[in-house]
Amino acid sequence: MAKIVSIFTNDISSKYIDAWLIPIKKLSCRSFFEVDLNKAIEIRKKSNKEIYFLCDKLISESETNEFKQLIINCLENCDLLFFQDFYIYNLAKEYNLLSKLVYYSPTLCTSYQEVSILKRLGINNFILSKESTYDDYVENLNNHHDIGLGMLCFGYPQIYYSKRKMITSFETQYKLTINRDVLKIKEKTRDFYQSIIEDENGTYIFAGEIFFPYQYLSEFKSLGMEMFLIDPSFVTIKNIDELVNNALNGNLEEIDFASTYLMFKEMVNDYGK
Amino acid sequence: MTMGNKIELLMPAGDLTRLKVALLYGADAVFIGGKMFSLRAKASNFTIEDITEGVKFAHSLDKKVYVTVNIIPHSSDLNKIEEYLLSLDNAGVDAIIVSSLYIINLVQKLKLKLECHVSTQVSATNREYVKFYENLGCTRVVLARECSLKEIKSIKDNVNAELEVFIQGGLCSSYSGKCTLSNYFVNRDANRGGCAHSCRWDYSLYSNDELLFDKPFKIASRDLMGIRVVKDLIDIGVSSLKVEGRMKSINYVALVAKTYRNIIDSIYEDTLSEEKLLSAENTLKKLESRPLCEAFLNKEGISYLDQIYENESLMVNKSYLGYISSYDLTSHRVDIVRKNDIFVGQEIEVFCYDREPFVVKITSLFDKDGEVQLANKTENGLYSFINEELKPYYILRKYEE
Repeated sequence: MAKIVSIFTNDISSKYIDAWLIPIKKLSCRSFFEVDLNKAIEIRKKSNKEIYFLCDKLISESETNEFKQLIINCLENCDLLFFQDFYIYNLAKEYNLLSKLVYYSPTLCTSYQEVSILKRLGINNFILSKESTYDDYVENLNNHHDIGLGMLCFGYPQIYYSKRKMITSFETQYKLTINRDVLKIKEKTRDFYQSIIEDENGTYIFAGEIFFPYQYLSEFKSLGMEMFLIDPSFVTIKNIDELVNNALNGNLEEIDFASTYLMFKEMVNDYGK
Repeated sequence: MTMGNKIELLMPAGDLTRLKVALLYGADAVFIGGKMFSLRAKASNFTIEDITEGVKFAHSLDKKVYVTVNIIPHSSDLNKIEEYLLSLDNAGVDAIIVSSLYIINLVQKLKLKLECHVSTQVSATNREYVKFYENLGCTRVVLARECSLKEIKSIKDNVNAELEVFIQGGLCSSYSGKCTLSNYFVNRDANRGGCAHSCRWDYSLYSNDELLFDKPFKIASRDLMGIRVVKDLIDIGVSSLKVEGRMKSINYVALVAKTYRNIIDSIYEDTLSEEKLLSAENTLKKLESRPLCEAFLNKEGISYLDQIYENESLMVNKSYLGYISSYDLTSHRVDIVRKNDIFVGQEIEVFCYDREPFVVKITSLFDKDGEVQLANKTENGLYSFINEELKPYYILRKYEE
């Protein structure tokens, strides 16, 4: 059964949301929606929806001891946990909690062959990488009927993740103090903007257009896609959940802001073609 | 210091000539890309025949060849992968550098002799990440370039797999394999060999659509030079030091290999000195076209100074004139592959892999059209006559007193 999952925020309507994905402080790549684990546990107790935790940070060696118990606590107190660092996989395996994992790599989870191997390692849920093409989505759905596949279905895809603090460096170099509330960058020959944020874990850049392949969502749903993820970061449009719900039911007319991102882009210089 | 299990110097090679040059000038192993399944699409990648020849050459010197099979594949990219892996194994390739779990699994399923080294594309930043791949049978992990020396030591103390660390060359400013700037902007998939280096472009920083500052907002890193931490990495027990740059020139490959070879050998012979380090730094600085830094290998930690802020490309060094492709001991004829102008009367430094550099004077020059005073055309069958004994792959450089 298809679920609409949204990154947790009080700002969006929850009428059609089946599960919240809460970015956990210190372990996620989302500074502005981050929630302390204790608060997340409280939310879960009070909520009538499933509560997933987002722990998609790449964990440095120097953080492994500090985060070990936090990760275990996260695993024990969520319905599902989204991760990309295999440190979390190893811990989940050790504590017999593999069933709670959702593999959520920005780039490493595109081919159905890759998913097959991860499935063999005990992972049962996947958010396919944002680089996936239409064919990747369909091939995955056609080849995997016994696991939970999901996709980002609404939001600005993250296109860059650095451990370096780019905005702080820029400030230091030019002796500036920058108000970080709504920062965007623009490449000098292009006329669109990309949001950029920096937090204690590094710098993130997001695409300049909303990925919302609304024309294909009902097809993916009918092929067995289970999780449709909303990332409301930087989005000012209201009733996102309703839009996604309507798209899943095939009830959406043309949406002018929606992009299919890389789903149909032919890549240059890619091997094997 | 014990010579057993000496650290490996791993150099990039974009073609057979550079493979031979890297190994002759001091690399213990080279990494190369095939025509398929490898990043760096613009490097002049190897055919299976080239790979076979390269492996034969390397093994004749008791050295190794690793082949990058490190694309992050989409479903349709994996056609013919089995056939390709089998051909690499048959060619005697020592290891493949790989990001895909499916390909790692395939190597085992096909019972191949070659080993799997995990690419930096997976961004292995901690011991458990390394152990994950160790448990899948991978013998080596190339650590993420975000690891500090302390972290590398801590990882090393807790894993069995060999660790490989980048020591020189270009750096992604993002976690490797996690960047889709290039895909997004110009449809060139960095994870499938098409990186357009979009992190090196000029951006502007805005707040609420208002330009914040008139200087470009750059997200590119300075290039890496880790010559001063080689000893630390040896002490930690790292297995391999990797130089980035399959698209670099023969001159770059030769000089970087020889420079790191000298420093590594000095460390094992206990003869490393500040003078040697300074000389090595000087050589490396002349070769790089961008400013350098130690990035996360710096003992003080990463600094804002490790970023590039202005267009800081350094002048390309024109001292590289070419290399020797053959030498006839009887006639003293020397065939030259020219890269910069050479003229009669010029004094040239010959940079060698097996002896100290020496200077020769060019007394005559010939190309396919006959005698010339100035050689300034490419691929023109350039040769001369020099009495000093020369060998193929000696490098010719402008002599600077």
